[in-house]
Amino acid sequence: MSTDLHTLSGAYALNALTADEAQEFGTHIEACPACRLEVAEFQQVVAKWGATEALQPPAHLKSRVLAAVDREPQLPPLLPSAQEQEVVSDSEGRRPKWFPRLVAAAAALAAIAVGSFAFDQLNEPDSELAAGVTRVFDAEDASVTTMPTEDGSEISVATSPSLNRMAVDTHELPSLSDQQVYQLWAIERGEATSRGVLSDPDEGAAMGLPDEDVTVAITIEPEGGSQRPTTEPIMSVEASEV
Amino acid sequence: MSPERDLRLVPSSGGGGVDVDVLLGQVARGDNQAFSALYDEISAAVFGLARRVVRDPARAEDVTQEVFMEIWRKAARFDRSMGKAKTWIMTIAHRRAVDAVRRTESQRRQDQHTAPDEVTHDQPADALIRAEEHGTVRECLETLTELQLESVRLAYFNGYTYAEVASLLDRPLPTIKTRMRDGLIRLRDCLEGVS
Repeated sequence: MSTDLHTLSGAYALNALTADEAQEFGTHIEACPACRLEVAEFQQVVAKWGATEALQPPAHLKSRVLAAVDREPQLPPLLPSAQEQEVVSDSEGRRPKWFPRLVAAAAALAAIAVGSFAFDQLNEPDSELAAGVTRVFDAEDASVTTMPTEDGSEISVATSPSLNRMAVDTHELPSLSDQQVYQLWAIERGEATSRGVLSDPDEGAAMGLPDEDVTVAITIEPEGGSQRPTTEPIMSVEASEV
Repeated sequence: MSPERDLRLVPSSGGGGVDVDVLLGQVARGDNQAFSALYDEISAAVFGLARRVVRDPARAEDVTQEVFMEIWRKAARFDRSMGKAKTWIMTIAHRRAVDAVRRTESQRRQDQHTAPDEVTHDQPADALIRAEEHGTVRECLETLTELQLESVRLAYFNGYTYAEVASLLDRPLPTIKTRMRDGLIRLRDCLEGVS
């Protein structure tokens, strides 16, 4: 198969494969440095060829492009040091092995309403989080769900549409060593963003109500927290609509 | 292959070229002015290729805009160890142009096939540079066999898959597959030999 696949390098560089074939070949060249080099050389060759067709675009196109870019955020660089830090950063493919379970778990769980998604500064010392957490759990319209965690304890999650808040009660979580912390994540379209380190699980944490397509997860990370999840979550919940 | 040529491939104003790799590095750090300069430097190459592949000028403009949006978004993820910035940009341009063509219905593609290759270049980007660099590419294209050239050309400029090329040229799939690769190898070796 690989010999046959290798001869696709030309068609691949010409974008002459179907989407499925291109994906298969793309996977193949990740493990084939010679193929990768050949494709890179071919791409350079056809780029030169393509440039022979150069043609000035109409002047109005530039202002259109600059205006569009003005509204467009840029993606952060992929950090070379951190294979494992990328586990959920690449929406185009590589997802951690726990991802399907995470989604399944999220689907099975009771869910939460829509709203903006800004977590509090969870790692600030002397914050008022505990009071903020209690406030959500005590709200008149609070809906509370208790779910088991992977390590055998449990977490309660409360949402209050009137407060537009979500809170987690984490006091049941086992204590960690000094070198480890619990860290909260928001996962949206395969992209995990830290929402803070739980400085004291006894205090729980509160945050704005997440959007419905956001998954909230907690992992155990090295002291100080990580840029991306490096372990499987002990719990996760999707903030989807009821 | 000399860097000098790449830098000056499509200058905006006939003066000294700007290094596309340097500009892209600045764009990665959110530099709008560098992005504007990058656009001046390379939009003719992008638009020309898009125009050649999708044919319709309005759609070529859309493709060009898509390409520059992608450059802006992904500039920080450009891996210079994998090649030059200009190659990266032209690879994006071609992929997006081909995607645009494949979204259109078959009738349109049929028209393209029966009326191939006549795109007028009423506004050449830079006649001198074109003559030098592009003449080299054209010379090298002539070293390909007829079947190699047709296979590569139909795929690259018409956006056909190799299976569609095989059907159009009435040849077996493996033949077209290898002709494409052999053709590109020959083109690569010729361009390397010239520079």
